[in-house]
Amino acid sequence: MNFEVLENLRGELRRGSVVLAVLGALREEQYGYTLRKTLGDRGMAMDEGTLYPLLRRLEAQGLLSSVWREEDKRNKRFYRISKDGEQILEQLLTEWRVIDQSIQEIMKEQSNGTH
Amino acid sequence: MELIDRYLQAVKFWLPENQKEDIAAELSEDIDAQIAEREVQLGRSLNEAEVETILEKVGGPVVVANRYLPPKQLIGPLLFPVYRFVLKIALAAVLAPLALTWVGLAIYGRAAIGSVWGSLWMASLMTFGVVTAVFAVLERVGGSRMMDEWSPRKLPPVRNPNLIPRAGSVIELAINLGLLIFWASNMYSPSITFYPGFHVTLAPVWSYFFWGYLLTCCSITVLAAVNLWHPYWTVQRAVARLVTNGVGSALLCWLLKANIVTGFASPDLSAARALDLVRATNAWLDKLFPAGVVMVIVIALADGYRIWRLSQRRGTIGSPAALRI
Repeated sequence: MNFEVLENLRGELRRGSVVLAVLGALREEQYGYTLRKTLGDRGMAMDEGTLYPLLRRLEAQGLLSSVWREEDKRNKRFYRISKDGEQILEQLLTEWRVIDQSIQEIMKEQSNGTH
Repeated sequence: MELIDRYLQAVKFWLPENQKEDIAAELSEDIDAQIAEREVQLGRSLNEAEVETILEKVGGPVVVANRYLPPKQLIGPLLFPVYRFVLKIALAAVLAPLALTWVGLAIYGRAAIGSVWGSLWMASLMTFGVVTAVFAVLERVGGSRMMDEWSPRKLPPVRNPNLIPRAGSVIELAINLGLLIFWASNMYSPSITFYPGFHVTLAPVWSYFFWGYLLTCCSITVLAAVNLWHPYWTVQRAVARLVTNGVGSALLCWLLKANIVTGFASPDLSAARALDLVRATNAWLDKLFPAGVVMVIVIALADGYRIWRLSQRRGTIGSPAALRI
């Protein structure tokens, strides 16, 4: 098996779901570093070079809001999903489930066809 | 720590003015959090080498900064195939004449070869620069949108490389018939009168050229007629074309070397002047010999490529009937 091809395809597959994971995780307010830890702990590890630009993009699109606040004597930027973000998240989750269902159906048909 | 400040300064350098402080503050906070976590794990402060490892993991300043910038392309993926196509055409159109000049100079004299070589490079760079600049402007003004404006009906018809345009065959047939009549009626004798009072005498070897060109001209005429009747290249006809072109080219090269002109005669021309003219004409014909050889090679390559292409595709494309004739 070509490991490099698999890695590229895996990256492409995960890239589409990153927004879902970030919006989902930010239903609770978090700052960048803890968000990264949360995602990593749940199998969606993301480096800072991917996460922070994505957070800025989502905020610019109005899906997140952020605020600088001091915590443990350090200034941190806390992010939280916005009202628009929650609506978009719901729609994306529906889409996600449809895709999942479609793939399951396709795989089931293929499986029945081959056996 | 100075290392982190230097790192943040390097990242900020590549960021837009209105965002650099905000992005650097957030990045600094993330790096601090990573250091704090590592220090808790180790139970001590990190040394410079350990901080350096963390910064290396975060990424190079340009790479990190670039992730915050909107994607920028000089020429986008939609216009790029068109750009590459136009660049190839433009380079061929500019470089082909220069390359021919270069070959000519290489054959006839070396005085200006260096300057033509320099011109080749300059012309390549200029062409590349101009075409790239035009497409970069097109990209900026929304040229990519042109790619969406299309209709299946406006697409060009399916191209068959084996199709011989009938218009071309008609022109070839007409020219060759005219040439055949002219040649047979005017060029048989080695003493030719171009206009009243001006005669050219040719060497006895002319009879070979006369008959040789007459036969070649007949062959081309027949081939053009067959092509008109059945306008598809076949291997047989491509070989016939190679043979006729080869014979015609070989005759031409021989003619250039044969000292074919033996005399000029005109009431206004002295014998000595006529002799000079004969020598000069033959010398010029002789000088054209290398150019004739280059032409023969180019024609042979083009005809040979056609035969190769037909033999490769035989039985896979085109009309089956086309391959029979």
